[in-house]
Amino acid sequence: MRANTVISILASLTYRPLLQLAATCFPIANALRGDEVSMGTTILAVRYNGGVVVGADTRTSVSGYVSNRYAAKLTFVLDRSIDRFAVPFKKSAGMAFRDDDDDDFSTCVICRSGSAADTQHLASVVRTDLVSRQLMYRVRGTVTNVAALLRNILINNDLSASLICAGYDHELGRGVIYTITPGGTILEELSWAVGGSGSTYILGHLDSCYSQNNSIGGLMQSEEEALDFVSSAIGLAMERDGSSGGFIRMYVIDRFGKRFISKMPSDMRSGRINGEEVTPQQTALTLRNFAPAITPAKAMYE
Amino acid sequence: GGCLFKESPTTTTITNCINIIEETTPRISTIPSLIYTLLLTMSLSLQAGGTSSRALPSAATRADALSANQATTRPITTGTSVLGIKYRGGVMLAADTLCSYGSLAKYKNARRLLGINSRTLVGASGEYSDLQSISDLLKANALEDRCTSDSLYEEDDNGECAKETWSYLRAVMYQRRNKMNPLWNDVVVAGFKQNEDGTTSDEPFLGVVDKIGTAYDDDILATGFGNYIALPLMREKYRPDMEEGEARALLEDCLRILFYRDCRALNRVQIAKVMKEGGVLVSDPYELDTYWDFEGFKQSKAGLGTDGGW
Repeated sequence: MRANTVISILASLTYRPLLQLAATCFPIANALRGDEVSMGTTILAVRYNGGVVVGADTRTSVSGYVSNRYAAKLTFVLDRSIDRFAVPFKKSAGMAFRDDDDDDFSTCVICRSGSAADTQHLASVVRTDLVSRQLMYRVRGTVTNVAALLRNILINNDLSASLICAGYDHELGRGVIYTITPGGTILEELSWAVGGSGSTYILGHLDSCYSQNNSIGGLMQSEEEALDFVSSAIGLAMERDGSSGGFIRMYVIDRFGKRFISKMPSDMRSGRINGEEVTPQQTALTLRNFAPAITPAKAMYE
Repeated sequence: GGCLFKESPTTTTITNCINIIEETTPRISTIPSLIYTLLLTMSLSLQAGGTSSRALPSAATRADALSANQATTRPITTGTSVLGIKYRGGVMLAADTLCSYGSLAKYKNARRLLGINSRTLVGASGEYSDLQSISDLLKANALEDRCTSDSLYEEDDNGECAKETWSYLRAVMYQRRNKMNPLWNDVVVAGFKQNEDGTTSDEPFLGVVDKIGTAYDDDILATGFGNYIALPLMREKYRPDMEEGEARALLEDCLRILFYRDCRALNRVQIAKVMKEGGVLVSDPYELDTYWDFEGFKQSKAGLGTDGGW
């Protein structure tokens, strides 16, 4: 009797400290741990009348250090040019058809932001799943399938991944964009979607830019317009977000596949700093009273 | 004894005065040294070129005697690395012009390199408001030096030389650290040392004081991320007889690489130099070119565009 009382008293005394100890062992859901590589980033996807245009910056950072300045955050999980190894069931052998008639292919890209490790793993798992379905069941995956698979994984696991899943969906017959939050919420975006740490700085710009271009409420009409929209928005986010930087990777995705475009910082240089004009004379060469920079005759780094 | 001098002279001034008294009049031990110090201090401070009372380091913290202010626990608006290098004929500092607000690149035209007087240059990384406080403090001292100098002409410049400023800042930073309310900066001081007669020496000086009062001087220095990225490069390329153009090229290259690899850096930069002939020059900000257009960057590695570039 006395031993029980002692034990129960001891248990009550240690209960609170044990709880506190347990709290330190269970991490906050969806947060990056201190040593995790983050793709604090800016990702953007916009629909136009032929499909979608997606874009991302190229900076991967760890505690303020840029560990990769040319990262690729746009990962293809369905690619028309690669997924030709299985003939779909409805078009069986014996029926002659030419490749360019057959546009029942989806091309789907996942724009990754959050933890680099978690998102790389997600993309890999989803790609594997779609390839195996195509081989086993002879059905071609669609962008909607990708989004559903990602959602199923995210709702059951504690991962730090905020994704934009976009591409040309052959069953819907149009471009489609899905935003998937770390908890697993899936939302279809009809015009544009933006994500990552840099997205907050450009929400106003995107709202005003999109409504100016499409006052009727329709889609952008041309690919050039969409590319301009994406590159200028991501450029603005890179100017202000410390976790976004590098150059801009973009893909145009339509029913025929994907096309890569890159845009360098030198293409985007503006003449303004915080609103004030930067005079073009202020270049490194024309600095008065300072000797111009001389590199030694030998190469700088052998 | 300290209660007599609650407000005006600093303890260092008193110590100086007592030392002067001991050196000049060792026989006078009957007269209480405190009264003598009082008289001497009053007369000295009225004389031109005499001991001046330095602006109190605690002036920066007077406010917290009045209200319940919190001590600095974390920086809010921050600047990143400052680089410094000695070359033939002077010392050069370089820094970018960005002040970040956390991860937001908020102020892109912030000046972090300051000329204090005609022979001292100061640059700081860390909390920008603390840099502004330090700048006010040093400028007040410089103004007092000019007003109490023997002559109105610049040849008889009795402004603080770089080594004096560095030592003074060390005392300020350490005192603040002991009150658990630091000035959250790494301050780089550049200039020349001083000969005994007060003229500027030929020997260049480059020193750093960090937020807890560590003082260090060397031929090449960097703060913040510059320690990890720029310092190894500077150590490899540094020669004591570098020309100004070579020093500038080296600093610009280090700033460019810092822009690639530091999340809080910008490619809009400023350089500044102190010259042996006298004079401190801080440049206007200008942009550095950066290089991204490599085929290896654009190609995706490992097939299907999984994160390449590793």
